[in-house]
Amino acid sequence: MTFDELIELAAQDVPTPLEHARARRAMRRIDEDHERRLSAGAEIFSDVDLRDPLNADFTEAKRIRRAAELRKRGAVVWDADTRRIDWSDEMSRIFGLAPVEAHKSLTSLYAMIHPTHRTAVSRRVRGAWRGQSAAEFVCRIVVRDGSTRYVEVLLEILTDRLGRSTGIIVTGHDATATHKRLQDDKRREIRASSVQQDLAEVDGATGLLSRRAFADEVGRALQTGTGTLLVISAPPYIRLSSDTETGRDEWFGTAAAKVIRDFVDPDPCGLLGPHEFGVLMPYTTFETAAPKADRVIASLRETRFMAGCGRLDAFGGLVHYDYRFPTASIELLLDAETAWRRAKHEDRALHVLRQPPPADERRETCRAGIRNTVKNGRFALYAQPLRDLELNRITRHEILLRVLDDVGRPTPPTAFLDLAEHVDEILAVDKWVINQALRLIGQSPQTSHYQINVSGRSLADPLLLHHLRDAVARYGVDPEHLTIEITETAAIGNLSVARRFADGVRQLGCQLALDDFGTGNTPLGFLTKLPVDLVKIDGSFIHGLPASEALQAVVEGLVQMCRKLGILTAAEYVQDEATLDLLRAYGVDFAQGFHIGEPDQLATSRRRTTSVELNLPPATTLEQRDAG
Amino acid sequence: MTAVQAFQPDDENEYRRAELRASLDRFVRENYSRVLKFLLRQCFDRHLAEDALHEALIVTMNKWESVSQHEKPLYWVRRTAWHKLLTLHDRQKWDDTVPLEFIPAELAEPTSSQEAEMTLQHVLSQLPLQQRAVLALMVEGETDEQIAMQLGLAVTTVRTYKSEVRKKYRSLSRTDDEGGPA
Repeated sequence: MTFDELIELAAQDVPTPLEHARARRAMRRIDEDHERRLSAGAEIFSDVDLRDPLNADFTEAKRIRRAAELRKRGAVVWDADTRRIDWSDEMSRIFGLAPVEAHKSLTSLYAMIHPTHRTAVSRRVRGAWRGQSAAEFVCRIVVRDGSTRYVEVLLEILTDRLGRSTGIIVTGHDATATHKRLQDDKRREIRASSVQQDLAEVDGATGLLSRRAFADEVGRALQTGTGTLLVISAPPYIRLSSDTETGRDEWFGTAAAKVIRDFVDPDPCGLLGPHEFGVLMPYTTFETAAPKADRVIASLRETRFMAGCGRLDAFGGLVHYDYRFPTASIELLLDAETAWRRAKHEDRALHVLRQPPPADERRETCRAGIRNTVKNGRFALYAQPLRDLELNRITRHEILLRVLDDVGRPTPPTAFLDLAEHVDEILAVDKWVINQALRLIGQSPQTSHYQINVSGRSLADPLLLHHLRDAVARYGVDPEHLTIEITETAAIGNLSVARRFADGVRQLGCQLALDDFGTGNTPLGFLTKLPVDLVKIDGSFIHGLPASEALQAVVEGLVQMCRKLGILTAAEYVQDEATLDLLRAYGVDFAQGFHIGEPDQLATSRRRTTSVELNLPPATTLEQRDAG
Repeated sequence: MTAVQAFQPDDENEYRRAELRASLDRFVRENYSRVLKFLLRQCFDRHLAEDALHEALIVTMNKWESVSQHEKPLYWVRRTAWHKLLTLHDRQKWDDTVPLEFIPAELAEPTSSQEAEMTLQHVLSQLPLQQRAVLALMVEGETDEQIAMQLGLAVTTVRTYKSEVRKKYRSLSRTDDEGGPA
């Protein structure tokens, strides 16, 4: 159906008798209202033009101007014959001018348009004039006091009876408030899509909370009530050296997580480490929680898995918490971990730690465990390649620490390092890493640039710099091919001490990097206060980059800022080609991640111990206390 | 002192007033639905449209003596009602959404005037205010000049709006064709 046919058909709609009745009723109401207003002396026609619209005395310009005035719109009229311009008092008000003093000229009008809008406005005016068509737009103007307003205008071309253009009339009103509101609506819309909906970090494979998120959850529970915390270790009964590569490890983790969740939902569950799970049971006591824990562990042990994967071993440690006896969440987790080790040691399914150790004792046993680990060198060093995105080849390696578990297999060091920082034993670990890494680098052909991690905590120790200098000299490492990465897990306490360390590192010829930039404890100010050479953008900004405009904005901005400061950038956690393309486009210097290359063992440490537990307090001390 | 009290209740005045009143009644009876429909084609809110029209008719009642002398009193009433509506719009930022019942499930070929009205409402809802008024007056069969006079626009603007309305209709019916089953 054409438009004209539609209009013709719609016009045939005639009023029904019902509508006539409605008109009669309306007339009565109007009558009453009229009488009431007359008697109240209210003004009836204040904003009404009483003249006949068909009155031909008016020129088009005058007619439009009157209509605009009635609607409190300002008007600007330009006459093509006389080339003169005039505007109404209301328009003067919008322009911030006094009606009388205003010098009205095309030049002064043009000068009032904001510089960014001038070209666009002239183009619209010319276009409208040429096409004899109307134009509507929002125009930014600068009023006399220098402030800016937005004016919504309708630009019309005036014609005479023969259809020739005779002038232009612009009517408009101050739409600053509306414009600002629209702007803010748009901003809110963008913001709603750019802010993360859920803060909880969830492990992809198991759907459980990450260690950090679970610790946060525990921390919250600790402050608000009482309850119990269960930590379960559920490793495969038979472990194979190829478990990590074949994915058997991950498979077992997912299976165990499923079994645990089935029992404890909706209590918060976390994946604390490989084969280690935490369950927070708020408002439970040992009496109610222990049977439940027993059932979970029994179920984990009983479950048989298909296709030769065998079954799980499982041990649990149960601790109680109470808001009246404050502890840190990391300490409560530690106690529970100690408890399941104790259960394993005694070959029982569950150990209920009824009496938590005093804080200083716990701290001491922790430190002893860490020192022991360091002393026995129960670490392995791995090197993960970084690709120079300009040259498109591997030019750097980051030295990564792996902690060897009780059967000598490397595990990620996060939990261990958290603990070491918590009890202030990180310096020993850092020194070990520097020593071993430089020794191994010194033995290698030194064709790559190496990056070594140092905790922000350790910077405060003046001996660390000496240690580094000694090691560089002793092992004959080229300092120019060495970058010290400051990890962000612990806040850099004293900036001037950190600055001294940083200057020392650079005097040595090494470079300085900030690790995990953007998520931890490094304020932006460090970029100007510390002589940083490289910033490693945290993996959480890189993971899922191609799908998220919000992350893209963050990374792009960060890279731009760093470039201007003369700081190199590196991106961690690069997992696909699409991410790599984006990083290249932003001008990121280095990329690191499984897509670039997985970490390879640098060399095994000197000797391997197979018996001792990692950071386990000696069982004897616990037994002594229980007996006592 | 009000208008009512200003007149002495003599016969001639009485007669004239009765006649005026009769002509006003006749005018409202004939045009009430028409003007209301004109307003409803712009704001989709019956209460708002009725309010605007009543305001306009109260003025009309007060000034009928001069308005009835106009060549076309309807134009004046319609323009006044439209202004009242725009004032209400400026004042309370009315909600510009169309009630669901006005939106046809599919834009089928209208066969009756009611169905055509539905399609028209759909087109109207997609237009800015001034263009709605222009389209509503097009339906009433007004010329460009008459529309320009009533809406306080330039004739060229009416032409621009008309072509934009047609463009909108074409784009709407095209997307609806694509959306429907082939």
